[in-house]
Amino acid sequence: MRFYSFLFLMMYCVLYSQSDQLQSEYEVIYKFKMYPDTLSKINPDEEYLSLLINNNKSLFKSTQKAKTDSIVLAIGKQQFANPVNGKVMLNMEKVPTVKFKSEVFNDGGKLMVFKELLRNRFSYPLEDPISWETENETKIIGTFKCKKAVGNYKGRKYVSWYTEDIPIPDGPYVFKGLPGLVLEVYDTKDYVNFSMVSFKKVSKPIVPMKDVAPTKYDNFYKARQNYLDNPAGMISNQTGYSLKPSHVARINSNAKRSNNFID
Amino acid sequence: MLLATVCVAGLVSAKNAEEKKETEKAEVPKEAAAMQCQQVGIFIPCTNESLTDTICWGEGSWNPTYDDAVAEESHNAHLLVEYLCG
Repeated sequence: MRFYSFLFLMMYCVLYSQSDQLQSEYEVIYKFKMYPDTLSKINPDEEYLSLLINNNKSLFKSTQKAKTDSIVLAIGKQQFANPVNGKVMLNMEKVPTVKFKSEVFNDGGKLMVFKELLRNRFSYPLEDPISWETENETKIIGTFKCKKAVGNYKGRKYVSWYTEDIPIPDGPYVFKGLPGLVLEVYDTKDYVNFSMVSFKKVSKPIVPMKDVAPTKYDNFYKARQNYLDNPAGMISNQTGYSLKPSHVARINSNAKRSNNFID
Repeated sequence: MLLATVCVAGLVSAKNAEEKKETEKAEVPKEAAAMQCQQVGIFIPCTNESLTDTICWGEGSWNPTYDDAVAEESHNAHLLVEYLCG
């Protein structure tokens, strides 16, 4: 009996030591809505985003991102394996696009922002966390009593509704650090809105973006400016595709319409 | 208890030795695969046209294997359609 107990203990220790991946205790799903063009308030981008929480750590990312990456690979493999008249024709028409490509990893209040720019990935520490001012106004969201707070981030004024019923100082994207979970946050010009859809006890792996180039916000900003100066050129450079003038014009025109960066 | 410890240690040691042998075997340098290329079409749904590209893999190319080339081209095609078609 002792022998089996000992073996069980050994196996438990081995298994436990190997499962060092951080798992969530809770998952908050937010609906994200944002107008990508500051000159037009039609056709907003909408997506469901996930906040995975474990004690004082969390990861905020799109629920669609990992799925899209897998779908691209699966469709690619399938189309390469089934050429039509001897020729491979890649058709990515049915792949759902990811609207919110940023991620934020919160490690005890220290925030690391992850960004994607075409095929490049960056990470930088958040150097200017929001300084919130709490107000007396309250409202009910779902079954939760929420309090109002206001703060500025990258030139925009945001209104945040947080609940002390869930005493987790977290929230969507960089909108964290209040004495309760942020259930809704939006900018005062109504370009950006995050609103909670669900809050559940869920165990999922917390895995921040990989293969990233650590940098500072200023360097990411410069890289994005370089892209905005010549979007088609950068896409051609990264993919190796030779683009026709009509394609270049179309890509550049699309890029101009995506000018509303939450940063 | 002591017996169990010795047994487990023995098993772990034996497994490590086997893995080491396998690693040593795997370290024998393989002959690098010669570069191969394949022509690929990329459908652009918003303009209803296709773009032709060539993928390569093996020695002297960016992609060591065919699977790497397929993954690379799939991601590039998706990126192009996303930015071209909005």
